[in-house]
Amino acid sequence: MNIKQQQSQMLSAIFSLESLQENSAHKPSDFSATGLSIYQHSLLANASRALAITFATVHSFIGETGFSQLVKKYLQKHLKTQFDWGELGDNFPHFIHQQSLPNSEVLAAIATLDFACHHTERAENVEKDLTTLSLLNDVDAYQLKLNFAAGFKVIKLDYPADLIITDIHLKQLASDTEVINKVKHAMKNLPFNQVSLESVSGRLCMSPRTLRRHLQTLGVSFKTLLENERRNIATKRLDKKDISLDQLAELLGYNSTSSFSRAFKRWYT
Amino acid sequence: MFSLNKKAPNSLPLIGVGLRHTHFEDAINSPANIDFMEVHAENFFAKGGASHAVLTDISQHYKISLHATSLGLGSALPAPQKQLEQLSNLVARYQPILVSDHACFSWAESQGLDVHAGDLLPVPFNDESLNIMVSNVKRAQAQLGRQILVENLSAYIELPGSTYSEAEFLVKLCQQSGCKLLVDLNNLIVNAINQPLVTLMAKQSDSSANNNVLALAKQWLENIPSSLVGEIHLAGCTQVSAEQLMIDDHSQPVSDDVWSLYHFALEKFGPVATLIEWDEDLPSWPTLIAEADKARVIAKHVFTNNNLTTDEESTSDKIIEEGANSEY
Repeated sequence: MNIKQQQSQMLSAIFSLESLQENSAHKPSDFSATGLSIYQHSLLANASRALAITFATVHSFIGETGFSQLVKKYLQKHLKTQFDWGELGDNFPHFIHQQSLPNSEVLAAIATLDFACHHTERAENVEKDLTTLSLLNDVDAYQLKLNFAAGFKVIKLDYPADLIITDIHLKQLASDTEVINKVKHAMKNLPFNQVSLESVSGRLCMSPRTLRRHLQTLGVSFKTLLENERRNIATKRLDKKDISLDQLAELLGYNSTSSFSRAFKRWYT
Repeated sequence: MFSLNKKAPNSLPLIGVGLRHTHFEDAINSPANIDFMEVHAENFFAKGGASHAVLTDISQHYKISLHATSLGLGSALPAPQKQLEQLSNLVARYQPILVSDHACFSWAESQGLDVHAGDLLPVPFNDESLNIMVSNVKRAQAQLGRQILVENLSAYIELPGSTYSEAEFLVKLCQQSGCKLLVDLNNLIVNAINQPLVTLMAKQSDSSANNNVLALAKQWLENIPSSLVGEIHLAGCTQVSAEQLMIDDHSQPVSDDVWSLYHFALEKFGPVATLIEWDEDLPSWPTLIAEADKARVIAKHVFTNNNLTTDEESTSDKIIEEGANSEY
């Protein structure tokens, strides 16, 4: 067997994704099966991750487990011919449509819109040339044409997928602001020297890692929120002029006046 | 032969970190004492959009290294021209200080289609495989107009047909294609740990305890001429029991074994650009930077002739302590 055949064989074995279930019962000597399953797990995990980014709404609709099962079936049926994970999934909407899932037609419509939005985001950036609008003053509008941006796309859907997606985003947004408010509230109710990712996440009944990730996806860090709270308190107390800088540093939970004065400079210069 | 000037303070290696999405904001807002940022080339294959806005910003603060994971330089089925063009556009756009990919295959035919594995799959170390990789590396270098670095893998399957050791194979690859190596020290450790399982020789090597792992990895490095090493990768991964294969998941701080191997590698290879890789369960930005600072302390130790002065020792402690404190 030459290398080309050997590589085809190995790649086909990985994409079969077949030995995945039996694996826990493998014979202890059969380590190449274990090796193969490592590559299979990695393929599935990477594909799920990539498709969850491209088809974010579909993913949030059916949840992690269901999504990953769907991706496994998809990979077995449609081999990955793209080298770029971001391009994976051109058949995913059609594939979803064929599945016997609840609301598979609606999900397929949402998937189509997800894919189109993803592509539009990745398309070449275009500078708008608004000065060309003045052409309308001199030239008959019917003799002018629009130059569309690279990501411009017209799609026709049988369901109002855009409304569904907007609705989901609004709900998401509401729950996001709620998390930030809860974090701020917890910070206010703890002495500053006890404020930590651990203590705050504990009050919110989630793990520190989950809270950090959650905040990261919202584009804020725990540190920034804490810094803002400290700054608010500092501004209030300094206005009242009832506290020395040393006392203020202690109140805000800084363990040295020098780190406090660094923060102070950051805020007020 | 090039000699090490251990006394010159300016002969310290460049030290960088792998930059992932989670840390984009931190990298711009809290600039760190980092010589370069390495990004995965494929994350910037889109023609436009948010990813390029971010990388443009980053490239104004730091030097960039492009680490590709998709060329599959060992594939008998050549990569499509479009893929090489996308990488070379990226190189032209960001002028990276280093460009690298892996000694693996990714492209192969399956069911009549050209399929990309999306992974770094191992190749056997023989002449047939070498010829394929040499020609793919030459093609990539011609397209990019520059030398590339090729990284050693962590492999979970050993393909039959090897006639060379991995180190011999990689040295020949450099000599015949003009590339250099990106030596991933954690991959050496992972392969050394997995070796008895992967090569089905568990019975014969029952006696080999873990202290041989470091010796095996050092032996590997002994076979590489220092003129061929262009970059070093450091990472950590999840520990496993003796029965399981260790997976190089880049989810942990750099392990003690890898630090000790790094010390050895710097002494042998000189001040080679060094990168901390962390891809899963990402830590806070300060913790990641603290890992880079540890590498810098080791490099100072190696290249300033003497042992750590008390002053440096306390600095390194402080860095580590501050890193820990800022981990909210």
